[in-house]
Amino acid sequence: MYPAPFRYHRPTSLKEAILMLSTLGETAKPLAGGQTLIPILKLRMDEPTDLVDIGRLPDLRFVKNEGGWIEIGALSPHGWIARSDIAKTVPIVKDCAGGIADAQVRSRGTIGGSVSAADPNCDWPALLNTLDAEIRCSGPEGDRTIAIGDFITEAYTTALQPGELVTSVRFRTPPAGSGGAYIAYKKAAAAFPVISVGVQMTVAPGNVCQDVRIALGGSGPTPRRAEQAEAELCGKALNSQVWQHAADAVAAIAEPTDDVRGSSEFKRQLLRGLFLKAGDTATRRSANAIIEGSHVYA
Amino acid sequence: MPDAINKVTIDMTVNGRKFRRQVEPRMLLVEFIREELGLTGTHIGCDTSYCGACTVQLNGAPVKSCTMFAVQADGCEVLTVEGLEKDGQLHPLQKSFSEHHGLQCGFCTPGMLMATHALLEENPHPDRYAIKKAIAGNVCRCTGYQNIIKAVEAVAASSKEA
Amino acid sequence: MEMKFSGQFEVSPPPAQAFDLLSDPQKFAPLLPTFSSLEMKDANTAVVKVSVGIGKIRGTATTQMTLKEKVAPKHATYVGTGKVMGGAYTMISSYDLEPKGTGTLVKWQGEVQLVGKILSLAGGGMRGYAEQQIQSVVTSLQQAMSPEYQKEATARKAAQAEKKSSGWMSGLMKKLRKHEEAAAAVEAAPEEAIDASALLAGYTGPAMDAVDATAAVSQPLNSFARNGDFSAAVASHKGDKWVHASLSRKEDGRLVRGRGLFVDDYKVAGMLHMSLVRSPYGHARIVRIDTSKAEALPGVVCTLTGKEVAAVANPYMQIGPGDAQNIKDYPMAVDKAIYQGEPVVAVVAENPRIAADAAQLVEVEYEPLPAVTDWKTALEDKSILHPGLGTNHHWHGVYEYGDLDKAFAEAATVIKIGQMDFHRFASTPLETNAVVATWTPFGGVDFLCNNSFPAIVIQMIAPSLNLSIDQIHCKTMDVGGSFGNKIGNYPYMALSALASRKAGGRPVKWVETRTEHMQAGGHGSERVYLDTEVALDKDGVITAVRAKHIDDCGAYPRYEPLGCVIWSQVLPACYKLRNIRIDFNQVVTNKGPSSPNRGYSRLQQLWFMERVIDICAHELGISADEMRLRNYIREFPYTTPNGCVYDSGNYPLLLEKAKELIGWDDWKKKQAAARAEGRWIGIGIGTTLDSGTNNFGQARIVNPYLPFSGNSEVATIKLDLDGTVVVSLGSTPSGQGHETTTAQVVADELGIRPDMVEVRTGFDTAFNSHGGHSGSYASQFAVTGLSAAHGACQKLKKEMKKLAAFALEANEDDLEFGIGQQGPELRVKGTDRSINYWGLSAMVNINTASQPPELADITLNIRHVYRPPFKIPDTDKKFGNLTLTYASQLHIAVIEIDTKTYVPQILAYAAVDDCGNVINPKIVAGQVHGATAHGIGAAMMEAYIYDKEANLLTSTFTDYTPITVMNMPDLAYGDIETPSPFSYNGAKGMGEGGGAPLHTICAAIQDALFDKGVVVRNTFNPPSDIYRLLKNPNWAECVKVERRAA
Repeated sequence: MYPAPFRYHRPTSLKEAILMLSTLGETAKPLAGGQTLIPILKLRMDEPTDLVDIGRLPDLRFVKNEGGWIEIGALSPHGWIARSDIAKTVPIVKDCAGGIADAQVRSRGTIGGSVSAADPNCDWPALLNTLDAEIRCSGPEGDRTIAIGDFITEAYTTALQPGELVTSVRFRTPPAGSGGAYIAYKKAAAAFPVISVGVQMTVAPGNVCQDVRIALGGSGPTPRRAEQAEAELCGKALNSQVWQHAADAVAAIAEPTDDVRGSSEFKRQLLRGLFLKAGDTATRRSANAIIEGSHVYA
Repeated sequence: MPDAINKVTIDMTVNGRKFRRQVEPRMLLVEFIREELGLTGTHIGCDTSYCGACTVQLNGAPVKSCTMFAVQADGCEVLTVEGLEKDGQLHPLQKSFSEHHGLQCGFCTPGMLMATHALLEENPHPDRYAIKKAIAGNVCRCTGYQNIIKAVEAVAASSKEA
Repeated sequence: MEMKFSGQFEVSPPPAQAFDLLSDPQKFAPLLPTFSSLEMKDANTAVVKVSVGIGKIRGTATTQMTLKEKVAPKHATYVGTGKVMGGAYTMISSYDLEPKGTGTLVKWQGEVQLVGKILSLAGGGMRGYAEQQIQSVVTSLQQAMSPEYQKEATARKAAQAEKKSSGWMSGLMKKLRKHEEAAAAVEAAPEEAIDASALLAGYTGPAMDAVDATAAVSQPLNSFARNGDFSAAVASHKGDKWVHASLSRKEDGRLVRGRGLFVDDYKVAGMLHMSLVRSPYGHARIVRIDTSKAEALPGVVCTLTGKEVAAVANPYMQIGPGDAQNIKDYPMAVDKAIYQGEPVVAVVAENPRIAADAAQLVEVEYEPLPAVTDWKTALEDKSILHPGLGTNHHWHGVYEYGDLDKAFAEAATVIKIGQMDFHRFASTPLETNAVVATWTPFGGVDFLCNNSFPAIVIQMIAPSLNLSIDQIHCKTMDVGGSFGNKIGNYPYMALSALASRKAGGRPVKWVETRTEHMQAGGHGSERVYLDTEVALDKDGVITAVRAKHIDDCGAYPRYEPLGCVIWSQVLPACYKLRNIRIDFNQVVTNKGPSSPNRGYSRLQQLWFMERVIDICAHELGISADEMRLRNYIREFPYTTPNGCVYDSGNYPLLLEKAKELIGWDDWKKKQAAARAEGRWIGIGIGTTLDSGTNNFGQARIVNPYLPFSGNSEVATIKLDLDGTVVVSLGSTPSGQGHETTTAQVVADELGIRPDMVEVRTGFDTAFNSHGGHSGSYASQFAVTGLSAAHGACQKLKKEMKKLAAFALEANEDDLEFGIGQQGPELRVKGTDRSINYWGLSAMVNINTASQPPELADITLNIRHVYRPPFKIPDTDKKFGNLTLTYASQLHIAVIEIDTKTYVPQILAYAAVDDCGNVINPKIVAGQVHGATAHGIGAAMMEAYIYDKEANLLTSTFTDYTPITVMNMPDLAYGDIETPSPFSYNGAKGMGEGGGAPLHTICAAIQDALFDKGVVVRNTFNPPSDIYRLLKNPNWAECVKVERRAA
């Protein structure tokens, strides 16, 4: 309920933040929106000596759609992203951003913070994997860009070096004829997603799948790409049999944990079901259908 | 735990009034509001950011004040349930909650009011689903949510007529 | 949670040397790669600290290692216990040494058991952290023994010695200097240097000077009317009768402004804050407690241990019979902790943050004991929770009525049903348990609390603290929900009082955190139903039921074993069978203590009977509605086989109304169409009872020596000095609007408006308006509370009439009550002669010389005790009327289970309620909504789940997931009114509901899967369980039918 004491720092520039963090060392933590970190501190699961508040750093809340890339600033809150133009043009982003936790958490929680937390069940890592995103970082050694698959190395662990911060994420603007959907299952808004799936696909006339990328959340320590399932769909005319095969392939690579939210076996079946729903929505969206997607609660 | 912690001076405008206080960095916004300012309408119902009883508006946006440090709200405008009444007149939402029996024990009510107040500021005519989404992070153990939805719908409808 | 590790490695030294190293913690601990410190407790025990960390979270794991077995040079066993973030672990590791060449082969195996709230966080997601932490300790041990490591040992030791000498600060300074050097080396980058002292200070913000730092909250002083908002609500009501008016509540005015007064809102000068250290183990002996570090923390006033408490306090009264009287229940664990979250040490400090810091510094050494987490293990009695009780089988009794043998012999069909389970959950009020206690200079204790049954609590606490009951001043104000759970918070009240005493009488506030509430704040009991047999006649009418039921009440019985009789208030549920035999049992287990929970003990019985009805209907091919119509009780008042009297009701009408509300025929068609498409849609019915106003004589059925019977509630009413009507109650409302409904009743009696009646907020022993049963529980206020208020009104009216008759020189019979030009008054009918309330009060209180001697007994200050007409039940036969009124509920749900995801969704839901004459329809509907949400939440989302080591896996809201708006269907609500012949107003107590949704949802799920060969036999049905059910069809195994020739 009450976090342990810590020192508070408020750098005014990204440069200063990086310098502070790398100077203070591993017992210092960056604080962005705090929606992941503060609950951990309140339960005293972690007791950093210093918090470096990066929440006010300038120029890190933005969305851009330029030169074939969509880029989202690290300090963009989920709710703000869900209301942005990007969410309108890329519905899968709205599915994710607008469904994360609840309205209050979406006011504060940021995409940069979420992806840095690398929680195996959380939404952004799975979604960004679906979109084959890159994570742009800045640290004491300079700037670098890391593919999402390389960025999250283990559960709760990223490739970020001490003092290094995420500055933005970016992915290629989906082409015309591409549609996507992201569905997470959770018991309630403020509960952690149990399992999730994202599908982004391009469907050519004749209902042929031209291109597809599928990623799974809550199905292992890090988000997983379902390559075999992608292969089942790619180049094929979509029918229920093709989808079933893809769904089998999705379920086959998922390794969800057994816990109070369900057995591993059940979660695989659930994932299968969610995948088929996401696939259906993605197909229809690729034909420009307007479908409100959301998280599934029960 | 570091050896010595300096307090931080913060400025905050709460319900239209400016305050300057020195706080421990670890003081949560909800503690600041309740302990430092004595505004006890903002409640604490859980410790994992689930229940929303502590919801306030921060620069207009609904936030869970238990999941924010007071230092993070430095320089911000905060609106709490105590700020809804204007010139002795209850806000239409407050009246509607009472009229539609949208509260029983009243413990979740301040959070519900602030979450739906933020919603109506952004979208004066929300549909039922939008109302539900707005309070998806607020737990009420008494009403089964039925009359809370009704109370917000009534305000949304009356402002439509006006 | 258990983890096993094993492995082997070779080391170059011979066994004797290797053994020497292995069996001496002082020698090998410093070899650990992540070693940070070592302290020897005695020759065989070392406390080792190693640093651990996963991802972004880093910390220190402390392990106390004791050498338990030492067979030189072959074998050594260590038992280690340690703390990790949010938990603790026990590690047993043994080493077997064999010579190999000139060296030694070491075979080792380890077993780790992890306990604590860490297991529940993030749906078990945080478990990974803990596992990795422990794994890193184990790996360290293994590495420490490897040859390469030993080579490096000396060098490492030296390095570590240096590291140890440098504190965090000097480390930072070194780093900073390095940075400064680096910065200086880089040209044109001076701004990159960070001022070291500034960094250590952190951000401090603007200066405090020249600003008014004392600015406080204030508001303009607008003109105000007494009861302004309530008066406006009253003014909007058409008509002059108030009972049955859908009036907005008086309570709302303060609550919508955030101006309610909940315990945590209360502040008083000198107030201290208490934080509790709780056992991470479900069952463990307390070996040692060291509070010295906590006490040394500035701002800490004192600590308190169980031993200190036991030295000055008496254990709480036990309700159970025989050896149950020997259970020692103190507010804190004394010798051992018997559930995870049991308080072990209290810390009192100047503010809650310091108290939490200090609690972390308390060192407790535990010796884990085998945990008992289910009824089966409990009954084995291998591990006993309460030595005084000598068994975990806390209560046993047989309830038998009618002629079972005959009924089964004559049955056309006998249906046997396998084990069914009612799971553990609770209503988890949004305001947690809280209290401010002050040990006053006058020798008593002052409580501002949120207990919901204070009359029993003062009777529990007084003997425990060696006080007279009058020395306890107990008060409630606004209470943020209770649902029965807050009946059980009295141990914390007593603990806070003792803490206040130790702190020199300063007030001590304790507010339970949500996690604490989930672990220890009161769970609803689990129940298992075994060996169920049902006899039916040829028409599907149930003639007999027999079964064995076992309640699991958790670690301390407290309010139990009252639950072992309270269920029998609704023994046959809504059905007319006359032959019943229930072998009833209760066990204690290493789980959170139970407390009454909305629908307490009855909903378990009602769910059982409803399941029986539906399973039998399904087996016999009778539809669920028809089956009920054949079995419903139809004549009222109805005496049940065990002597309870169902006052009134009309179950077929409830069914008809609910069908109409939900659109039964339409859904039946839709269901048929959906089934044809392979979709799973089910329709379920639940009929339940909410028995209200207990006969406390039923307590004698569980323990014949208990001195309780009947029931009582008290109200006072007076005309105050200014003539204001002031009422105080004995209830502790937590959202039920007693201030409003009482004002409605009194207004009607006096012919005035509700806003002219002042009903005091909360319970207060100083009001003198309580009896031995006062409180808010067991669905009774509409009967007990309002009868008390009504009775008090009658007495007051009599006095007022006498006074008025004298003042107006009129006959009492010619007087009428009403509102005149000068407010509430009595007047002579048909004239303008009247006297207002101020005038009447003045005759007694102010202008007393005018009061004639013959009216000297009049005080205008009435205390009325309402006592329902109960008799003491026959304890041998377990027969008697146990409750006064029986509200009834009928719910219908339509549920679709997604065939791809197994996620159930409620498509439609109707709830029809009958609580007799309704006082305030708005409030009644609100109670039904709330009870419905609790039932749906429990049936689909909410469960207290323990693992076999007695770790609670759902110890936060995020993991327990109380039902939210996204999970709630839109409710169609309806009511019928069958007035109770037993209450003055025809009302029946209500509010708890009978847990109708629990059954309704189970029935709907069952119906959706009607052809899948499954039987729903657990109250808790999350999608994962529905999936498991579908994968393991169990009907044939669980339901056996014997059909007899006619």
